[in-house]
Amino acid sequence: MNEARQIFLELKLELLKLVLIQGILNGALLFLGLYALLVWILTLPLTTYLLLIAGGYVIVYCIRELRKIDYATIEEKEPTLRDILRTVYDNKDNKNLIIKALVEELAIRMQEVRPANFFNHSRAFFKMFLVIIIAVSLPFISSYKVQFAQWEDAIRDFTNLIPGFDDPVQVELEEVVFSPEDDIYGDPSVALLGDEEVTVALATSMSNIDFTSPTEANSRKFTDQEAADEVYATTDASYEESIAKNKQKMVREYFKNIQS
Amino acid sequence: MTNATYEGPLRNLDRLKETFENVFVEVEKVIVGQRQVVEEMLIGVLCGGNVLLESLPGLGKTSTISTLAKVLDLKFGRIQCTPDLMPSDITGTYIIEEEDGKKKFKFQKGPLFSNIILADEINRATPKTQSALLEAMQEHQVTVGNNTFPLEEPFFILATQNPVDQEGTYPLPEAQTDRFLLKVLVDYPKFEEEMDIVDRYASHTREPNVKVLLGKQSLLLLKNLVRQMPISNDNKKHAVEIVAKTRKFKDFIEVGASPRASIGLIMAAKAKALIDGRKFVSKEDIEKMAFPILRHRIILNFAAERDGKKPDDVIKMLFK
Repeated sequence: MNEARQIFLELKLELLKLVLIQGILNGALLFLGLYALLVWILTLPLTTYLLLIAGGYVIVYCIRELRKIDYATIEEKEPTLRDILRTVYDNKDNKNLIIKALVEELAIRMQEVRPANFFNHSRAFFKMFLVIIIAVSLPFISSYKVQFAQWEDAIRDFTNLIPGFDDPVQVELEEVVFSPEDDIYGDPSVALLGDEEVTVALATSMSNIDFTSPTEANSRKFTDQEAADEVYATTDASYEESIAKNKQKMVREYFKNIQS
Repeated sequence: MTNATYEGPLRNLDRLKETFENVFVEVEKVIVGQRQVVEEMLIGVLCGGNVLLESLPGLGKTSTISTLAKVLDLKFGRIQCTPDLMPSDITGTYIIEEEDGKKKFKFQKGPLFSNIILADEINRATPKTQSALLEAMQEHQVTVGNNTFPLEEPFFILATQNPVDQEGTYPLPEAQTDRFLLKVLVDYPKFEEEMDIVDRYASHTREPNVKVLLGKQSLLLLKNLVRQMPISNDNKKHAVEIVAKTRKFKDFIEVGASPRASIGLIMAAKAKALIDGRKFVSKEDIEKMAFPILRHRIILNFAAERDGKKPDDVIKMLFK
């Protein structure tokens, strides 16, 4: 039985190579699949994480598969050895001529067990084929890229939609610009100022512009560099004329009258 | 017996299969087909058991067993059982002999004092004669008067029964058929085999010579090897389960087999493995040997007979 056990350990070492190949294939498939989806299409910066995940998977897979390999696995793959293995084990305390011959036969038969019988060739070829297909397809699926590179901004925009969600950066900004005591419409004295008539007096002595003798404006050529990028006008207040009711009809008909 | 080329003590287990194959080839020089019958007889010899053969007349029972005895270099004796056969006819008796002017009783050995005995139509012998035969089968000894005479090893009885023509017979009770290790059924040969038989025996006058391949010592060694043949616990359990099921399968079985059947089944499976050149007993050995071991040990009930089921059909159901 000891000889059989030794041969079994040798067989397990041989099978380790096959398990490694299978594990690496599975890991490569996992990595490429996730890479294509997450990094290539969704442009998420996760390459390092994916490498770690694939590497971890390979290690776990190899350990799990090696633990599964025992005498029962050999019985399943080599049914002709089943009776011999069990007979030798059940009669290991007998030392007769037939048992000795049976143990020798078991050792010879175990040496004839082909590690390739534990390897699913068709499945391995299929996985290799998938790996090649995914690797070759990566450049062709570039057009389907989704710009999730600014995913931090996207996440922030999304979280801002959530009521009660406080982005710490935004809170700081608000504290700097707005104090809790301020009205959002600004200083109330400014709002009142708009209702008052304001007399504007120019201090001519403080200006070098002569308002009493206006002159013609000098003609100038405006080039592109002098022109503003964007010139627009906005009204910062709505304008409403205060015309007395008895005079409103006259104002409406004024332009009609002067044309006629 | 000519050309005694039998082997001495078997040293190499791997040559056993070849040896047994040569035995079958030698027997086939005389007997056409019937390989399974010869194999089961050989299993009976190797297990130290006895075989009950059920066969119609003219199927070569005597030729088969006598040829096997020649190949195994064993002394062959034949007993034709009739209703008037007395126990002393088969065991032997004391006769008066004169020696040196004095008369004294001398025991004259009967045909039982052979290695292989063919008891033809055992069901025709009276129960008293049957019991003398059964004592020899069980004890490997003969008792005459106050004296007991051991029988030479290996000792093997092949008893035959005719399944038809049961008038005037004394069928063996089940308790006694249980003492036979195997019950072998002999069927008619196939057409091609019968053509071969006709060619051989309708054309030639001389019976072909067979070689002696195994001697008594080799057979005793092989009997010992059969007992040493290892069997896994799973297969041992499977054998006992099959026999135990015969006692529980009340749908078709009235009376099941005894633990003697369990011992016989495992022994027969071991002998089968040895003949096939293996060093372990397989599940197939057990299932194949279940038929000759159990078919004479179970009593079918009315439901089985009504459905036309034979013992072999019911035994097959036990495997599921």
